Amino acid sequence: MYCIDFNNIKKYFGNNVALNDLTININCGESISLIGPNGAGKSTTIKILAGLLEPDSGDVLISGYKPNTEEAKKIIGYLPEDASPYLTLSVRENLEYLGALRGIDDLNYKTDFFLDFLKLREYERNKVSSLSRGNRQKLSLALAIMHEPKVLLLDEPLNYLDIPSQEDVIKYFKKMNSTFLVSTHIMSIAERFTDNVIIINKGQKIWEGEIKQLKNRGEEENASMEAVISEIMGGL
Amino acid sequence: MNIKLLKFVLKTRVTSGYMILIFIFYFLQIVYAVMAYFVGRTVKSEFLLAASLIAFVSFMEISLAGFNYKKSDFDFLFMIPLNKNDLAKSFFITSILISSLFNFFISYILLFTEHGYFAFLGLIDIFAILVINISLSTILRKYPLRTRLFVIIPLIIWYVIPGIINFPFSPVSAFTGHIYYGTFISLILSFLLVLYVYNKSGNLPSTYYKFMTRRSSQIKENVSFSGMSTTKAILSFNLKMLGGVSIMRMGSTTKVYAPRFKVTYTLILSMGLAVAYTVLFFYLPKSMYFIVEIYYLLYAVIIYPFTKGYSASSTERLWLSIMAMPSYKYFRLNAIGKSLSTGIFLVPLIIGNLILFVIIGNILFIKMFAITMAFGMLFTIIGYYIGGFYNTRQITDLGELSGYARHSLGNVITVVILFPLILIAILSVFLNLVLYIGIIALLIFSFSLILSKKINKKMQDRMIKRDFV
Repeated sequence: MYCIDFNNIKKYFGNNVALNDLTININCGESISLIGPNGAGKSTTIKILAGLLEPDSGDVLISGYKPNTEEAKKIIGYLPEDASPYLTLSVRENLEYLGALRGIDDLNYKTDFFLDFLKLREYERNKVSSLSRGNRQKLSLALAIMHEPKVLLLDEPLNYLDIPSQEDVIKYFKKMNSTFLVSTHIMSIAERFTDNVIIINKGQKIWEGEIKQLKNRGEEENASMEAVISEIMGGL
Repeated sequence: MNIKLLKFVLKTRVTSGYMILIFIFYFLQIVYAVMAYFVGRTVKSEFLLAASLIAFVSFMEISLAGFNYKKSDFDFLFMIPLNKNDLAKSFFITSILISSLFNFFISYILLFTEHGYFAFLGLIDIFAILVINISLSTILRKYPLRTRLFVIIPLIIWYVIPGIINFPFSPVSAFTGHIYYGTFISLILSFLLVLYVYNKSGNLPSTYYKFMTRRSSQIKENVSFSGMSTTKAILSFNLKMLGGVSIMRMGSTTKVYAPRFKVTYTLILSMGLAVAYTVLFFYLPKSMYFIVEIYYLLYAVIIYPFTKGYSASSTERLWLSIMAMPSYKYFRLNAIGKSLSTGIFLVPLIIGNLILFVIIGNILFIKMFAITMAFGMLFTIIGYYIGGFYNTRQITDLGELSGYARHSLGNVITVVILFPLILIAILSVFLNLVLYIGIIALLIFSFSLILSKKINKKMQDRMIKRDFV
């Protein structure tokens, strides 16, 4: 059984095709980056997996559960692009409030852990509205993973983070032993997260394989990896 | 005056549909004035109503209107070497045109406060008061809200005084029997303020910018949710604090306002209101009872509770709440929490009505007691769901936030839904049958909103469709 089972999905927004028969299957514990140009359907894919959007046709299962069920919500960690926590609450209140909504045990320990790990301790009493974009992103990451999800759906997770924080977050993710689908349009970020990549364009999968393969092809053609991807994307 | 620039500023702030609406309303004001010419009469007992109405609308205008900036103004428009004064004048005139909508709602006072011959003069008075308000709003915009209130509150009192005593020296006096004094004061004051704004207007965006870039804020005391169940956490969130969010962006700088208050503060405020409300009836003539009660009903029982629910969607974070639990559970608990918070606000007013009934013995107060108890909390629930469906403003610090004038359809739909509910509430003051049926109807309506999984799911879908994060 796949942890992410996304089969023949079609999604329309009016007359526009957002996803056109897209299939993505990810084994449990595997990490894959989803790459594509703007408007390729990356965020739509992630939103369908998170259960926030329903496909027009096709089947989606997260560890055997339909995405919009309570069972699936318990195991999914979802971070949208440019996520925003509750702005009127402080950093600590956000962690505690969402922890309580999710029914997390040892909430005090978890809250303190993330405050220290993400270096948010000095802002714990600050309202989120007064935080910098980087600190807001750190808090959003903590809110997405504090219930130790088995399946992580991350949309541009490293946006706004400084380099040391990026390194800390990636190390933490790698220790989590979860299934990852990371959406990004920056290849270097994909490379730091995962070994495998799926490239989509106009709602269709156009390439799937190891990042190593892209690198090799670049070396053969004496071109950068970005140039190779650009060529693949233009190939549809 | 740079007309091209004015057109550009206007076009980038409101739709042409909205502008057509403004001109229709201006036309209707003239129709009112013509009607007032034939039927207008001065009725002293309605002076308080007229003054309060103008004061309320003015409060809204001075607090909310003023310069209407967008992120793209700071990113692009202000980077172009345009004449600063032309720019600021264009914004000022745009603000006056946008805010003209408010004036329509006070223009009907022409019908019963003016002598027929002065109805057209009344139109000028109403416009002059608008200009005074917008000028003040523009001048005061650079100050924090608390500082602004120090100016706004005395000004509003100055507006209300002619409704209470024979006082000719206020712009509002034009509608309380002192036509010449009132008009003279309105015109002089509006002229002086416009002159000031025009002279200083070039500096206003930059001073406003300085104000916007001040940063805040540490909270004094964290509310702890640790160890709470889901239900308790959501109720605690709603019963311990009130909050709202608004935003202003300038170039790379973002300023998000996220004021929050303890619910106990609103209780103190409502206790003060309840005391004022209760004491007022001991001094009012019986003929004024219904007028005051309609105002009380509109603002305390309908508008405040409704707005509280309605505005909640702008602070919602679906990626957190809906990912943690099913939407029907979350929306249901949130609506109930907000409704209970309204209940706390209404308790002193409910007690006030009970005291009035016991002391004065008028059946009207026991009706108001019942209406406040039954309708207030239900209006918060209804507002919450209508907001979820039609309030398109979700405030994050990202993307452009369009103003209310750009959501005319959503506003119209809200009003269409709200109108019969308001009608039921107002009629229930006069007709017992409507009161009984109204309570049952509102109960059924709000409970079907809370209980229906389908409605909650649809609300979730609508919010997601609008990119609620």
